[in-house]
Amino acid sequence: MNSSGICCLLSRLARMATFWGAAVCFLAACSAPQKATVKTIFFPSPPDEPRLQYLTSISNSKFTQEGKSAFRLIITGEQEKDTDLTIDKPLGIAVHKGVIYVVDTHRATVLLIDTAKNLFETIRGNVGPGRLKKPVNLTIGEDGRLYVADVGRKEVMIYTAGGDFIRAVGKGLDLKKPVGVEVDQTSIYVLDNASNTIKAIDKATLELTREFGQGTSEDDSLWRPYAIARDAKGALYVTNTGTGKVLKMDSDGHTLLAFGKLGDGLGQFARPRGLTVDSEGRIWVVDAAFQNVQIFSETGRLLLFFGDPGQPPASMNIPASVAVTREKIDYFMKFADPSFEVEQLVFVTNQSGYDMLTVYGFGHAKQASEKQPLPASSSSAAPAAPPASGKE
Amino acid sequence: MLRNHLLIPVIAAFILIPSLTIASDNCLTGTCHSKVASVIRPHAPVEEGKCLSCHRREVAEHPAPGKKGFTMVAQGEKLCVTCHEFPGKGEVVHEPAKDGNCAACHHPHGSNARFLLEIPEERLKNADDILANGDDLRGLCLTCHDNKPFKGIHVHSPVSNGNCSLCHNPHRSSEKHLLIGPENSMCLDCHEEIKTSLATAGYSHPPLKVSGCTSCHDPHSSNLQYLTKKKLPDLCFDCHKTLQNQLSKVKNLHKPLTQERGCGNCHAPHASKEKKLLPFAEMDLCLNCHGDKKLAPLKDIRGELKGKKYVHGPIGTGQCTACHDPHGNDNFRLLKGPYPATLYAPYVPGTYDFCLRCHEKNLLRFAETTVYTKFRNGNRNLHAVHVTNSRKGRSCRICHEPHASDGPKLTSTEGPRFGSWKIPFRLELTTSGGRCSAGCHVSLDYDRVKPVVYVHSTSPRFTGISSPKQGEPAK
Repeated sequence: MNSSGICCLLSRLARMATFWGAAVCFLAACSAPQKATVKTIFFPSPPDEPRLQYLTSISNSKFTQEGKSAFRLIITGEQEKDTDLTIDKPLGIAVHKGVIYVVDTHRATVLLIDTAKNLFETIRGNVGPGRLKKPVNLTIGEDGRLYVADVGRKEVMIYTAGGDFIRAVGKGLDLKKPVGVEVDQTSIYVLDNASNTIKAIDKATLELTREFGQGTSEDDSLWRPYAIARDAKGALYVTNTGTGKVLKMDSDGHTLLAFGKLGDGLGQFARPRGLTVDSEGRIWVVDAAFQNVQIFSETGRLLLFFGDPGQPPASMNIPASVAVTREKIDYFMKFADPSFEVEQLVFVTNQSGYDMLTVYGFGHAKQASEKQPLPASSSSAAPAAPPASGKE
Repeated sequence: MLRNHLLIPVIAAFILIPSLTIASDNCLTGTCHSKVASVIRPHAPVEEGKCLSCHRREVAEHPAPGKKGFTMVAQGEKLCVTCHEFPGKGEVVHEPAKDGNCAACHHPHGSNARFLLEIPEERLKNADDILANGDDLRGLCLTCHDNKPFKGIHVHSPVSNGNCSLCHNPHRSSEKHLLIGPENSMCLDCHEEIKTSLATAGYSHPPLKVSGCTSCHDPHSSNLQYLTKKKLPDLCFDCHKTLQNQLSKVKNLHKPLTQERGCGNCHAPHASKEKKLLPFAEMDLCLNCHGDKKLAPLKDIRGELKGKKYVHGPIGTGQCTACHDPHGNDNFRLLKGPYPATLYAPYVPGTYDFCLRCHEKNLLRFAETTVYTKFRNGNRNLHAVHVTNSRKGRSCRICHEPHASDGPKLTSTEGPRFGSWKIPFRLELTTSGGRCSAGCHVSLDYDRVKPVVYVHSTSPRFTGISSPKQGEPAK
């Protein structure tokens, strides 16, 4: 072989090496699992004792397809499923037995995210008579049913836990702007933003049984209410954008507690949005202006707040709702720092930014678990309350 | 010849003087020191006439006027240890022994008491006893130690018998106060009943383990029963300061606290199988007094409970202290929270906080409710109707028995007490309501689902009940 032949061979070998090297690099890149690159973020910031850790965020269905990379598609020929299913504009959120339900107002649907079953899909019943028009919030009954408040239809839409449509409620009941819904064993409580009332609808007869929320002062009246939540004892909690107050009412409409006011101080609100009550009675309230979540005791004392505006990881962007759960939190444990004990998961929906649904872990540093647990609401602000009971 | 006659006494003297010297080796046989051995218990060398075991002759002639004929072989302790090993072990040494002054307690030649103890004559009033027992050391010990601690009305038995050495080692010990052993184990060696209760009880009084029996008891004597250092409850308050502060401000003290045995009326001072060192189960303890008709005016709660169909929750678990403060407070019947002393007391927030600690706190707050009570006609809160009446609000005990009853919801079947009369009373429950037949008003039905429409009677008995304005919370 002459020298030109050798050069040609070397040149071909070099091109082949370049090609295969690039291919290997491409495949390797494709097959590399998505890993969180952000450093561990705690709230409050050190040196304070950490109470929350930012765990991860969810913006589209790739979240539940971890491991199914492009490499796998090439190797196995398996088709990628629903990779473009994204969360557009999430408002309401609820979590039940590990399944996350998110109201996507832009897509006019409810997304069902089941990490245990690797599901990320829209509910099946959102067709025909069950078609949502402009859903804004939802709740889940003890039977697992979904109750979705739809301001477009001015109705509450009821679906099974799997997403099949059951019925619509509210026609003829003069629901002007149903922005929130809660349920107990006998009634559906619809928060009507336009009439500043809560309308109680009998679950059996679907008739309006009570309407309340109009008192004599800011401390017992709803004013431009945004969201409603219910605690384990059956009390209802409402955020009011008009007064900056959170009202706690019983199911008869008696006001039991009022706290907060418009302002930019601690424990005050500028644009109070969604809220929830955890199993310890702590009240979690989203503020879209502060772009944070404030946690209050059962008596309305501010315990903690977390979240920051802007685009960095763990930030909130026009947050709308919050949900807290202790059920089936195992899936998210892989995101938790080894030094941090996660007790419950916190989900916050964001109407803007990259992260539409941010996930936080609420808990405590493992080494300090016995030293400084965050006070349960019953013992945090007021003299120790007696154990609750239903006795008369 | 005369010279020979003069020599005879000289020679005789030479012969006799040595013989006299020999005779005086046993000093006790002569007339000079014969008293030394005239005791019941002579020192062994004395008994054997070996005076030179301890004494050394310093001069040729004894006695020699103006001259000390004998000195001691050694001084103080050094003399005694030539024969005796220093008794006992430990770093705590009796002061005379520390100074080597064995003779402060022991007579070196002999004594009428055991161990050659130096008991002054004036204290040997009961010499026969000393000889018999040999243990009454009061005469000896009290020559140095102050008599005051032993003069209490109640004297520890060993002290009264002068058995100081039963507890104290007279020479040295590893324990404080020259005790012959660790304090508690010494006490428990005699006080076996406490030893047994400590071994079997689940709870013991901490001072027993931490600071010992003498933290509460005077080991010698006291003017108080059980040789306590202070009267009860002052003794207990030395440690239980919080309780003392609490009780110093209260209006009502539980009576046993003010009686002679104080805290000891309800608590075992040493150990118990029950929590809080109660001598036995809580309710049994309370019913000891509150279950005996003979102790009137205390109520016979035992009688109230007997055979009843329903008992109040805490009673069911034997917890009187769930409702009553066993020591004292400002509340009616020592209840653990505010509750009216009068039969009629209109509800205002706080009035019934005691009951509402456990029972629904919003029970009386709202005139209309579907949440807080089942005693309602439709949504009308009948509890509020009865209690919030501004003129004559009925207290809980008018309708409910606090301890036990055969009536549902602990309603009184015999009728609530109204002075010496018991108001006839009967409550019957249905699935959605009930009927109350009482001396207060005519029989009235109530129904949560289908509210009963009452036709108001003109009877004062009926119109005596009025309700707050519908739909408004009771103030």
